[in-house]
Amino acid sequence: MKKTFTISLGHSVFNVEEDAYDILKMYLDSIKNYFQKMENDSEIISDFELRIAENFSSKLSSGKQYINLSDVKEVIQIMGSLDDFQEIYDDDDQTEDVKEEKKENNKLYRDSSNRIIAGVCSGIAEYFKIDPIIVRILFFIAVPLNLIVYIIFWIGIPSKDFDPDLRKILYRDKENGVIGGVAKGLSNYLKIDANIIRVVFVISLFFGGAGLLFYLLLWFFTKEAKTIGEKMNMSGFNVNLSNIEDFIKKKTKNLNNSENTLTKIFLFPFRLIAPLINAFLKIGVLIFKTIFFIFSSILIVSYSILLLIFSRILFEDISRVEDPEFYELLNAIPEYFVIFSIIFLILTISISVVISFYVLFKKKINTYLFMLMIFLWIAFFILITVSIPNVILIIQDLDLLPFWISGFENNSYYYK
Amino acid sequence: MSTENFKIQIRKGLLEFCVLQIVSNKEVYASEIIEELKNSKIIVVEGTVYPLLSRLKKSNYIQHNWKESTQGPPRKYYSITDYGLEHLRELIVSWSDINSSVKKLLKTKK
Repeated sequence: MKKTFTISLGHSVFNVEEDAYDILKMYLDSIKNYFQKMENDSEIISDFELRIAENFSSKLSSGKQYINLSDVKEVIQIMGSLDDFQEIYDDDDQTEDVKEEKKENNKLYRDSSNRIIAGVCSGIAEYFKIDPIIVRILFFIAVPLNLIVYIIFWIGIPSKDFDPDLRKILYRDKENGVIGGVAKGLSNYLKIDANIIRVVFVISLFFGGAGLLFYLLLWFFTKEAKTIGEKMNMSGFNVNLSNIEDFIKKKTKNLNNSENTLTKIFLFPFRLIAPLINAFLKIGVLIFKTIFFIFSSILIVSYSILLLIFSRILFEDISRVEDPEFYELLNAIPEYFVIFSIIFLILTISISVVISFYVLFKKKINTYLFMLMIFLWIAFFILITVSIPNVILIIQDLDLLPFWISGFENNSYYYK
Repeated sequence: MSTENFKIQIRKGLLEFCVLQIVSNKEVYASEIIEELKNSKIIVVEGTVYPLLSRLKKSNYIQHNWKESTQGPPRKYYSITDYGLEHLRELIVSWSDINSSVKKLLKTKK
């Protein structure tokens, strides 16, 4: 049994099996890419699709109502791969274009096509031709420094759209992996033997475990390669017919290729703990989500209460409060400080709501709006922090200090 | 230059000429053009024809219109323009020039 996709291609509708769909999509994307660069003409692509549709309909009959992998392969063979087109259409003017593009890529840009905040990490990844995930995680680890660097880069670097399809993507290769397929995925990506990466990870355990953190982060942030397309993409294959065949051949070869004894011995303990770690991780993610949920709800509730109190101070006459000292204390607090605090709290609440929505339901809001909120939050945080000493001075003048501050005062007095 | 490369270069040079020639005879749709080119072994894969057709259309040598077909979706039929015919005549002249001189060369070698 195979899943099929329904696609519309050249004014017709086809049912295409999943693996065939992957290949077909990659093929059409690669063609689109190629011709868009060349002639900037969508007509070529629609002609292509029309012809492929013709081919497909000739393959369907009442006995066979779907398109399978071999149909797609045959069509690709008939239509030709990128190499065939390059032979015919690589004119002089086009090579110049390619050169220019290469030159452009030597500059650092922010990648506006693949971004989470402002595309800084993705742009750096594009510059070094590596997966953005790796840069993001490095940024994530280097916490205090990265914020400054990020903001500087954000301001200083122009943004640009990159084609995400031209990039090799880091996936986890669970099929061939031991625990989460991270090492194997990295090895596919970097073209290094997986065992070397595994050894590096294990050795890093004895030096503070930075590798473990890196491993877990990669595990959290990367996707598992599931479709043939993703599996090919993870090894940096370009899509054309010969490559698809190479890939499938290699895969079957790999299955026959058994590991040597040393590798088996080395991997044995990890295979043993793999299910355990897998289970722990699943629970861990669950716990993490729960804690996050509880934490953010508590945060929201407590902030709301605070907000209520503050609004009472601001809008209500609190002369009825029985405790005159408290009343005086409250009145002494300058109004600007109260306003700052209220705005700050509103911002905090909305930011945490937005973040919790993102973490729990994967719902994003406009990035610029979010960044604006963060910036305002930081600004008001600084304003409040700056005005706190002033407020304390005012309260001190009242001689109505809470005991812990007056205790401090007494001490300093004592020292005099 | 290998034989394969030689063939590619020749084909590359002649492709436009051949397509214009085919289109000039009658109104044809893309698959017919491809069929004929394949039969005469000018092209190996079909995909190479489409960018060429679009290029020819951009330079106003050919035009197309949609026609309903008895089976399946409507098809795009290509026909040559007056400007294209003029261009084709020039091409034919230069082709026969080249052809005769190459033939002459081959004969003298024998």
